[in-house]
Amino acid sequence: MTSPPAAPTPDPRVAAFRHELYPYDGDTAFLQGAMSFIDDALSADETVLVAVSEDKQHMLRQALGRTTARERLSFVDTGALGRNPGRLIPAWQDWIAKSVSDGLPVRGISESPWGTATPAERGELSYHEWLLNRAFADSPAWWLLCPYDTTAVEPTVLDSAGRCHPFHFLEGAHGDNPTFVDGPFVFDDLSAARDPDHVLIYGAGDLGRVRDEITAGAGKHGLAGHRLQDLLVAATEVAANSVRHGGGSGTLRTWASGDTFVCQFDDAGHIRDPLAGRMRPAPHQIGGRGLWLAQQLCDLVEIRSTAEDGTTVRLSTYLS
Amino acid sequence: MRIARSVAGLSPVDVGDHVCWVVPAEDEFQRAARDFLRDGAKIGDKLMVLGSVPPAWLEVQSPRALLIDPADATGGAGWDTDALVSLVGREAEAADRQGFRALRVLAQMERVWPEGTTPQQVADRELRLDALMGGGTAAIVVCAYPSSVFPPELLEQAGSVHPHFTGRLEQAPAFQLFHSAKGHWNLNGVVDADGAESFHAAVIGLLRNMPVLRLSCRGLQLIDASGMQMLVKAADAFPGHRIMVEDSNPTVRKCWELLGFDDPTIPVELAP
Repeated sequence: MTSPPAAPTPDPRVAAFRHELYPYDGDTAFLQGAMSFIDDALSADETVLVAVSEDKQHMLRQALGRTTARERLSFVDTGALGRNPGRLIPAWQDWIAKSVSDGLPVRGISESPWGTATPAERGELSYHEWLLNRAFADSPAWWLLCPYDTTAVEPTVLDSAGRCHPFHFLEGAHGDNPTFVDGPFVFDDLSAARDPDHVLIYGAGDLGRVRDEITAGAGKHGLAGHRLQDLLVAATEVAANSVRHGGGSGTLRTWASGDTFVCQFDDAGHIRDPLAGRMRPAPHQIGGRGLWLAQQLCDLVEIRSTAEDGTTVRLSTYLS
Repeated sequence: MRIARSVAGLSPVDVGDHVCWVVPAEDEFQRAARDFLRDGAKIGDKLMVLGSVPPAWLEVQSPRALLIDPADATGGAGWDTDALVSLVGREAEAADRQGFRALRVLAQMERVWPEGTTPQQVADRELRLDALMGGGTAAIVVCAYPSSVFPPELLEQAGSVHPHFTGRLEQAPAFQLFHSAKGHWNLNGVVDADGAESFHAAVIGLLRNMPVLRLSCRGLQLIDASGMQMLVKAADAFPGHRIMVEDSNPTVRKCWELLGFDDPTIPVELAP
């Protein structure tokens, strides 16, 4: 399955946003490449935002020492966003907007937690890389370096990264990435659904039944309190979208897999905007808030949507 | 303190109750209406029926009981429904002076509402009546809405603007908005896309006459994005008016902020 068709976007190679892949081999190479990128930025009076794991932060802090330009470098806290890659784009938009408002050109370094992510999370992290080109197509100029440890990341992830980055940083040189493909994102299939605990066909007026089904299923697996409340709001939004935009009805399936409680919604609708739910809604806009809330309230949201097969939205909430 | 309630049967009722009774069938109405009026006569309430003569009336009528048929009073053209509010207030005071425990009202709403009444009109008038009831008036008012007469959207609206519901529980309102103290209203239950239009009409009904609406959400279990948007849309419709949302749970507060409604241009404020 591929991503839904999107409105034409500027050629990612001439857009103000420069999205660059940095494949490296081990910590030493990471440090060398990242420091080179940071040094260039600081020399050019640019500000730098760094979103990497704690151990990599530690390495960079040590390498930076007491350089006087440290105040123009910030380590951003991706941990506060949780594990859902669907929250990363608005976070970067906020960070970039703040730096741009300070009047400084911006660079960023972002390394996703490939080593600890589940297969489903890795799929969404790869999709996030593809979406970045769309999300920042019309943004102020900024430059994002995405390091990938070739000794640790799966080859399929690296292949996907190669297709999603218009530029690369190889052997100390920045340039065009020949493996970049300016086309639709190719999704992995969703993991097979377990035998559902509950199946409900819902329509107009059934949002309460949807919540009752989920509450019953979640209760069997110990999901309660504010985590359940968050899931119920997200589920209400997705089911309401089925009624409003998905042909008037949908099917809900719930099950638990490992430490994850899953709610899957299938309907006949087609989500055309690949960035649906990834951009913060304006306070006075009409509609367009449901998937945004789902992304913010659930640990993972997977969406597959085509005109032929309709839409599947899978909401995951971790049980521990 | 008034507490929202949804039950299958009409009894028990208490002074201050404002009940939306969605009547499933005529025979059920006759039976329950008889019990309601008999109980009132027994307990020392002054009885008032707004509507046609129910069979029970002949059994329970007393010299000071009132029977008013709004539909007949205006030659079948309907009634000035604002009159319902002032009539209940006036007769409750009279009942008190006359030594009754309370005024007990059974209103057959198909005789009260003119044909073509909209959900917004129901919200406006019922909320005014609820302000009277919640303000300490010694009365019990049961508003009987036959499900065979009123469309589902109007029944949903009616249920949402009474603190008490009687009828088939599958028809019970998802949310209930009702008076708690002067300028203060309670919101109970769930507001989602299914009930968003009714919620909007109810909030409009309150804001029309209230520059600052204080909405206690202690009993609100869930409100989705469409419900929050309706709150904002209603407030936007009355420039200079504001809504203060109080006692909301952490999920409501989180969603409010995530949706960007904690914006100074939005005339709705969530109290910490």
